[in-house]
Amino acid sequence: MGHVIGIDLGTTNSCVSVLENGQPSVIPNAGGYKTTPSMFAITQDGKRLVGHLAKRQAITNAQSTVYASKRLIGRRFDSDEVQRAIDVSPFAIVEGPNEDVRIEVSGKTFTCPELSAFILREMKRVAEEYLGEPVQEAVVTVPAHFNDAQRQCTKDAGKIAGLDVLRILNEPTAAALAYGFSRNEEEKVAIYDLGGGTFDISILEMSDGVVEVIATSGNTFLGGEDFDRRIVDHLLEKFQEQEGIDLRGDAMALQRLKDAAEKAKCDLSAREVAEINLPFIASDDSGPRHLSVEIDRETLEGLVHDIVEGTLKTVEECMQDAGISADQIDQVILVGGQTRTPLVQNRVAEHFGKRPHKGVNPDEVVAIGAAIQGETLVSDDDNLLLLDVTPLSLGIATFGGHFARLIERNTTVPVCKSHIFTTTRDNQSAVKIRVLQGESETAAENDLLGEFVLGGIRPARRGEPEVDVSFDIDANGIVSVSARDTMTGKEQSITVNATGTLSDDEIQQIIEEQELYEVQLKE
Amino acid sequence: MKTSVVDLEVDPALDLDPKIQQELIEFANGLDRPYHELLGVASEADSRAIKKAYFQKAKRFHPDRYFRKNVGEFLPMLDTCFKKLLEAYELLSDPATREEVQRGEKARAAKAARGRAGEASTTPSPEPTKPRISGTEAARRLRRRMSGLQGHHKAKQERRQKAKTFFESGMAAFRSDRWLEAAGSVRLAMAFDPANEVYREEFAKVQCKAHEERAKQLTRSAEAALDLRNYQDGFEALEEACHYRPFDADLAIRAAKIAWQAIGDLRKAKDLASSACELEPERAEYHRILGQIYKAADLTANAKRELEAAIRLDPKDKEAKAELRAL
Repeated sequence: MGHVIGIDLGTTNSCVSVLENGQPSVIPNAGGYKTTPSMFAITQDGKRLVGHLAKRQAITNAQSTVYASKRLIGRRFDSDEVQRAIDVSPFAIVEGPNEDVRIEVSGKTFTCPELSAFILREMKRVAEEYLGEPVQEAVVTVPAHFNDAQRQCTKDAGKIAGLDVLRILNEPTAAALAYGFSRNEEEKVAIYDLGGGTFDISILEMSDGVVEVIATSGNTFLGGEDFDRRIVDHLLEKFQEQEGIDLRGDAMALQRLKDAAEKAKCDLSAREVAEINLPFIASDDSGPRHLSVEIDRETLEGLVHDIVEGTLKTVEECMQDAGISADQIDQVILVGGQTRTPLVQNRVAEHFGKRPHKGVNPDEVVAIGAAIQGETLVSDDDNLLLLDVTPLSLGIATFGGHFARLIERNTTVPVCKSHIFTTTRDNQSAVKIRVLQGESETAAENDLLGEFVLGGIRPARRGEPEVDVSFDIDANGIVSVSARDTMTGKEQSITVNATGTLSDDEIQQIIEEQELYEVQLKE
Repeated sequence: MKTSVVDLEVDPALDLDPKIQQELIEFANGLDRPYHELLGVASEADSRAIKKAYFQKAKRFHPDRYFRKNVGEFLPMLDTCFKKLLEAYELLSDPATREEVQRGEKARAAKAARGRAGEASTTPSPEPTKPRISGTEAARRLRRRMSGLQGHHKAKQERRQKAKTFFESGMAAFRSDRWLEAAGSVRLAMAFDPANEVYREEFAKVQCKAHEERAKQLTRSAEAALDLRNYQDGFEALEEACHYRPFDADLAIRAAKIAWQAIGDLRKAKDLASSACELEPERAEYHRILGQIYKAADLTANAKRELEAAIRLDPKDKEAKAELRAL
């Protein structure tokens, strides 16, 4: 059997790892880098580029270079998040046939799973080159707060990339596995994961080789990209102040500003002041204009302060969910490149009353954890067991548009829970079971996973019949729901196949198309 | 609760340690044991010991351990066992639910002991209504309430308010004798605020009345159907009415007669008639009818026994004597 690789499919960068002789290693790409930009581009002459190659030409080809598409995967086109992204993205975001999101690059339309597949295929290739053998199986990580649709789309992306995705693993859980691997202590650990596009917090407990997730929480639309955007906004304002020119409509200038902002942000983690020089950023009647701005750490901290505080509020909620206080946490582990920012480190340290653990590389730890989980699943090794949880509550819609939770978020899986419901009208002969996922008390605000009707209920006054609704999540995260009329014994059930945005046929079509393209390349 | 007996055998060809197979079979055969026994700890074990036991067992039972391996028929069993293990851990690791659960388990054990003692005596103790909420279910609801507590304060208050509204409209309906409506509303109140003891107590009362009302309705519709010689529907309504009045021997015997004479469902007739005899063992007529049903089913020994019982209780019962002679 071949190796199982672990892939951290990040918003900004991706990373791949594998276990060799029981030791995890991060695999460098052809350029020697251990992380690869999650970027995809089509050049003017129709060439498709992924990773560093795509990033390098992003400035001159902004409209045909896609980045941070992970922020859009599995979302509905009309969602706030997508609408917000449309405003700030240089590439074209359009609506697909199933209210999903598509991205137009050089006249061709791509789905989000396709775009993620380009990255996954690249990571697979990197691993194959390093191992010198084909790789088929992988564990891919997602933010803990991803919902079913987002997870399913990520799985679809794996399929398109020619990978058998054994599991979709939560990023902070992966980080905890990497940290807990080969440690044999009893401890409670907090994982603070601030990546390029998402924020997650997880509380875990480890003992005897069992890693138990106690609670997890987060925000799928908050991360380092927001830091960059704040800096870009700041630069835009400064430039308008100095030169009277608004650069907002200029895609190439925006891309240059974005790159410069990201670089300045990284510089400010190590230094107090960063200089941003962008010559020939614009021109008007009086000739070319150059942008030259100095930004110090304090200014940066002022710009992003509220974002960091926002993450700490989520931390507080998660601790409440877990039912433990900050002083009971033995270790705080920082994950994600954005945690290199001193402000983040300091605020987290203050919040937990202890310095974060220094032993892990925040960019690599997630991929390593994914590789460990993959290897643990397929091997006979019984030293490590992960007890993962379901990140969002599951339940059904009830009378008056309410949401009745059957499985609370942060419940260990596999699990089975049931509850008795009844009718709301006299002589009601059927009930509709609408399966929902989310945290809102209002049914309509949660995601609909599926629905079915249980009929043949005996005519009776409202409130009389008893319908036993039972929810089941298996170890692979597959949700099935059944409803049984306790009087007649009649039963109906569904397996909730998380509705990805692509059908099996479409996936097959995309795979064939990409194969065709690969062949074309070799000609 | 029914004990499911697993008839799997240890199969050394599987990718599953025979020792674990044995352990799984034993675990699956005792799913209704007290939770602490499932975890393999003493009933007074502390939370640390409980967690340790859970982790140890989880390492052997968790389906991930056997991911895509050949575990044959054990696969669904692993799933069931792990879920039960998780349930035990969840309930016992929370002091509030633990107390509730263990109280329920003790009561159950005591009742079971009484039940065994009762088998020796001749009169079965009548048990009109079974408890609606088992100890585990109550604990699960409590547990749900507890987890709801953390973080959903506002939502919880809204739910409580809702529960109160339902409860009040339920009680109003109750006062004007609209019992079915009352039961429906109070049930909704309970669903929104499952921990409220008052709702639960009132529900038991209201439900009792509601059952009476429902049984009355069913009996009426049964009579209407029987008048029209619609025996099937008439019988079904009566049978359902018996469900709501499990202590009503007269109702049971009526249903038994219809099943026997009009529908020809002797099995149901026998079940209903014997439950009537159990409820009121001194009624000669009931034993005679049961005897006649047995006779119709060609079970002569049973028929004889029942007819003799009828004659012993009422020596003047000519019909029973005639039936006995005919045997």
